[in-house]
Amino acid sequence: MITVNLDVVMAKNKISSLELADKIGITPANLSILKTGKAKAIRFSTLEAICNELKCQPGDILEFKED
Amino acid sequence: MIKKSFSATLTLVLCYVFSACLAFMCAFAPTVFRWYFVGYRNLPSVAVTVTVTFYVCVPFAAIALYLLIKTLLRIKKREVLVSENVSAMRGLSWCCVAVCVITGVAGIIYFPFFFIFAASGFFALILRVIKNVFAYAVDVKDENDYTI
Repeated sequence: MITVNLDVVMAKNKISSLELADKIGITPANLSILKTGKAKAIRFSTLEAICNELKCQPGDILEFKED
Repeated sequence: MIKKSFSATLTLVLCYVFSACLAFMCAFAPTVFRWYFVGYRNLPSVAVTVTVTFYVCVPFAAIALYLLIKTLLRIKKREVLVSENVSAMRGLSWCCVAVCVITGVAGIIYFPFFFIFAASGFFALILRVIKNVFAYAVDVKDENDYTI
């Protein structure tokens, strides 16, 4: 399964959810869905905006774990 | 072209009218059936069969009307592709199956019930298909809603 480590990367960058949501142009509610792993998919544009803002690679945010 | 909201309102009004008709028939079914089958057609045994069959079908008709009204109220609130509507469709389909079985048995005694048996059976099938389409649409919408 794919797990989202966005909260870890956010903590490393010392950025709040509200601030990140505002900077990447999505609602805090949607960012919360992404952080809690409820999201079923992520757009490349959103991933690009997150990586650009947090100065990281997609692999830092998304991780594959065997069931 | 009829406005969408008007169409839903019209259907809702018709459901309420149908509910009133059902309530009226619940109160006066024996009198109405006795008048028609005994007084007009001279078939006293059929009057009993039709009355009993009608009262056995009434709970399912009431449940179906309740589900229809709840669904229409949700549609008016623009809650269309939601799991509650899928459950309502499933309930409606089972109500039709119940009426199909009841009228199938009653049809052995009074043949014209077979027409209702066939119609409700066919309608149950149509509702099952619509329910499956709705369930798939709800899945697609969920996936779309959870694509960030």
